[in-house]
Amino acid sequence: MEDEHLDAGGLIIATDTLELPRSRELAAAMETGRLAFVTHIECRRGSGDDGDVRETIVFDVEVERPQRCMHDIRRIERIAVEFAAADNWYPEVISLRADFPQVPHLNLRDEEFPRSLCLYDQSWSEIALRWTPTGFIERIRTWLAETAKGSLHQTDQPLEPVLAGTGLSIILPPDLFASWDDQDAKQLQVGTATPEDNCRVFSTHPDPRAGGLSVTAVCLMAKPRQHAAIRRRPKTLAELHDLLAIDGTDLRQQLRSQLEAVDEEHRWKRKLLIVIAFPLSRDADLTVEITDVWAFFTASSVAEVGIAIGVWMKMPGDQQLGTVMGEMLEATGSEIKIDVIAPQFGLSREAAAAASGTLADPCRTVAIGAGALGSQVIHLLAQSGFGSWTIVDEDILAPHNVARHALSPMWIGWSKATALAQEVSEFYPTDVSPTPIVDDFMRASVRDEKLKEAVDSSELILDMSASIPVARHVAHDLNCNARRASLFLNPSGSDLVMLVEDTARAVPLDCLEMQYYREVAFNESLSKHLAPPAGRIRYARSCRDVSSTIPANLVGMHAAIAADELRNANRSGSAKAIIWQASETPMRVQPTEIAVHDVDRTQVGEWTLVVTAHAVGRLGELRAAKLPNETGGVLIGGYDLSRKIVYVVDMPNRKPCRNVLSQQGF
Amino acid sequence: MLDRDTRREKIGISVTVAHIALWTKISWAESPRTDKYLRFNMHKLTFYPLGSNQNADTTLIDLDNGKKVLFDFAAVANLSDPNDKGIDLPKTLGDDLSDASKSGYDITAFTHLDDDHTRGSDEFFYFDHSKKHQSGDRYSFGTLWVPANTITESRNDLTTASKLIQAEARYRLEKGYGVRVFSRAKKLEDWLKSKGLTIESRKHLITDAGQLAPDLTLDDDGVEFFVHAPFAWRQDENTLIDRNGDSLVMQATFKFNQQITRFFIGADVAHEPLSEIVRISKSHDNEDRLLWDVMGLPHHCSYLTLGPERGKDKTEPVEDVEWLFETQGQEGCIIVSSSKPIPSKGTEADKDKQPPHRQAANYYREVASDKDGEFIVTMEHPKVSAPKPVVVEITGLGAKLKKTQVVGSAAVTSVAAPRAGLRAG
Repeated sequence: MEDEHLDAGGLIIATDTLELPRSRELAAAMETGRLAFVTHIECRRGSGDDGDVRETIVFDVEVERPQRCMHDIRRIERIAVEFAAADNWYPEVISLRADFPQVPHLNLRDEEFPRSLCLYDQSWSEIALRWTPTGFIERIRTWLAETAKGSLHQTDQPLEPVLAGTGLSIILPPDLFASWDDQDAKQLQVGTATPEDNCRVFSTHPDPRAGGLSVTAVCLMAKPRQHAAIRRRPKTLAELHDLLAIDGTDLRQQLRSQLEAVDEEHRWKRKLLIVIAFPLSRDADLTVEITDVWAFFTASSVAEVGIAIGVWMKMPGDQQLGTVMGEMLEATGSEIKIDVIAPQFGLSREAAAAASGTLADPCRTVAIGAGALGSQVIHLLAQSGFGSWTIVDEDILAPHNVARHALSPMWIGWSKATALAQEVSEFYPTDVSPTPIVDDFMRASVRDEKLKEAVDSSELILDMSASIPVARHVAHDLNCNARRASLFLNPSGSDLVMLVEDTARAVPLDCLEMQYYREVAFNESLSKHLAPPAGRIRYARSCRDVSSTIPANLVGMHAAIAADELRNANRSGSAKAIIWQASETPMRVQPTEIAVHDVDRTQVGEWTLVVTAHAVGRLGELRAAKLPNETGGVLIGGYDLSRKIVYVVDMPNRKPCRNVLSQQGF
Repeated sequence: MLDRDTRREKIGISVTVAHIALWTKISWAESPRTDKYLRFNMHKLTFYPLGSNQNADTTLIDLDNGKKVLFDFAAVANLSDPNDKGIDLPKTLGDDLSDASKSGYDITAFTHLDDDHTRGSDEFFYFDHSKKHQSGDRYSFGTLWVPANTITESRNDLTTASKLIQAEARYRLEKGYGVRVFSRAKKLEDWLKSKGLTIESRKHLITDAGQLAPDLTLDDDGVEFFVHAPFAWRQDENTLIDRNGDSLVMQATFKFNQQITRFFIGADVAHEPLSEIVRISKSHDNEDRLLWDVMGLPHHCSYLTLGPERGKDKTEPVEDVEWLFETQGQEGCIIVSSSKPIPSKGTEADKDKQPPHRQAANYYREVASDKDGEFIVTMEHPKVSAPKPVVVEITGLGAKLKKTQVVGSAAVTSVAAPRAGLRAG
């Protein structure tokens, strides 16, 4: 049976009078007969809405089609491709069959027929670079073939959205609605996200003083539907009601109860925003796979909408509303114009973590030091859903800091802790904001009640101060059970060091520090680890106002490694000590994991003797070898004179590869 | 703690936003990902375009479980003739086997021993019985399927390849392994007796018409082969051997995702034996065994498959054959003629006695069209100037003819190397 075909528009012209390059190429490819499965029918010329020249090539394609098609795709399909002179958008690919089925991946048009095929998931500028007439025809044939099989929309591909967007989006607070059953209308201020004229993104603010347009938002959940996009954009509330009614959702009925609950003071002042969740299923069994959310902005007040759908009647007097008893059949809402907006929900901690492919971890963390490394580590961890932060730093952001800092120059003059806390709080605004402490940690931990409280309740104390006294203070002087960790760079900034205690704190931070020194002393590949930096810059007048020249990219790279490893280390309960060495040209990072040994602690008079299991083992070996003679030899370790601690980490039968003893108080 | 607005003021962004007035509509492309397809498992039939100057048959069946079954082997193309568009069959099949990391087929069936079904086999296969044909570059038959007359008939006009296949089949039957012989003819019994053997001792290697070949099963392999011909009773009374009439005719029933698709393998059978097959099947209530979704046309589109008269423009089939094509053919069916291109009316080729016959092709086209199906000629697909193997995929959606465009791949490829962050316009 011959299929009925729709008119492709324009006037039929001879192939050799085509003017647009792509239409000429496409027609030429067909006319030479070198392509199988395609038959040229005719060429046409017309003009678009903008008066632009449009050329259309009409042809039949033979479709690769199984015996049993999932969608009614015919063996031969008649296609029209319309090219515009401007060539700044996809050529429109139209099925001229009058009864072409409703299938996934059709373009949204004002009219349902003829249907327009959506061929690409890349921008036209990308496609245009590699466009060939043959490839284009094959793309059309593949679209039809896969649609026939029902596999154009892949099983591993997210379901197609219910509606195509209009390019407008609105950013809603992530916790705006408690659930999709939330019956309480929400009051929001809505404004353009930027002052630019063509801004198509609207931001929202819960504070009524924030300005912008006052809006009342209500939500509802539609009945589940098998995924099939709505091809005609609803333009009025009545049309939206009809579209929802197909799946059994009564929009007017649901709105009625919600509007009645809106406070009288808001009814005339606030425009109505309806947020609808569409649960979608892949198959006919209606098992919900995803929920597609769309917002419909009415540009009418709550009262006007209520009157239009028969909730209220306008009564004599100033903005008086009378409740309508029963149903008013003529009140369909057809005079209420709506616009479709794609809602986006502001970032939540969970969403931030999911975007990083990880799980949110609100680990209560006291971070000491918001310098170049610290700020970037905190930034990265917070950005991916890690940490409930207390940030301690007494420094002010100076211009030279910005070269390597997570903060931008707009924060110059602000304390680093405050600024960073503010930045981090904006990642997920509905979560608890970080607490900044603008003070020296050693002093503040004694006198600042807020910090003392944070330390007491913390799960992790993260030292990024680059200060040994602070690290030792963290190890010894805080009366809490939180795990301690230290992150710092070597003097030249080429290497990153991470020391993380085990959860039981069996090997505390100072003991990890000593074992790190042992590794540096004996590991040949770390011979340059403690070398002084190549250059220093003076940023102010005082003799202490010098800073190392370490490139921002190196700090950024180490911060990225540190953030990832710290998150991993925090997940496992064991102690970790790792050094990452970066070497240049080409940039390469070599990790060295330091074996962490248990320690034994003995009180000898007023001194504490800390010996690692490794050192004890070495002593035993050497003693056995030397017996019956004296063992003799050198003990390697360090002192903490202020706390009267002696650390012994090794007893070598060889000298350390170089003299780090004096540098680190060994 | 400074609040967000204070910060906004600090950085110069006004908190007051404009009244929403911008409701522009722009067209919006959705995001299909048509460049990324799942690879579906399937059964696959491949009919090879074998030669421009000679009709021949070679069909490969790839099963979903990786087994390969070959029906006939005929390397008839003259590779030194640029006008011969037939493929280099040994190379094509050899490449296919090495791609699948296989040293040969699981089953190789020869429907009969005519040259156009066996040519070149002597160079391609490994013959257990002949030391001369055992070089390392040869491929194994797997189980050899042959009609009984392959064993029993003694003729002088067999080609070297056909003789070797006959000798191999006899060798295997005598040794009692690696062969399946179809129909228990009296002559077969005589032949076995001459070797000091009995039908009983070789029963496990013999399958009669009306039975399923036991080597492959629907449950384990997703396919079963029902034997229609040769008929034992007929051959008993057959004094003059008609090899085409006694060739192997089978129906393969494929199962995929619980869906059934049927392939009729016609070999070179003419309308009389075909009619007999229909009548016998009906008398045994085996009509289902003559249903078909894919038809491997008998005898290269010869009118003799349909009826005794060629006809002017269309061959009229005899009643039983008409029933087979028009009643048993399924909606969306695929009819494959393994033959040279169909001649145009009035040409020299059109006057040729040898198939393909234009009149028969016209009948098949009509059948295909009535069933919204396809009629395909191996040497015409996708186009006469550059024929490529006809591939039929069998999935839960039935049979599907592959329609792959034959042009330079650069012209078709339109996918750029992906980069993180790329999104649709």
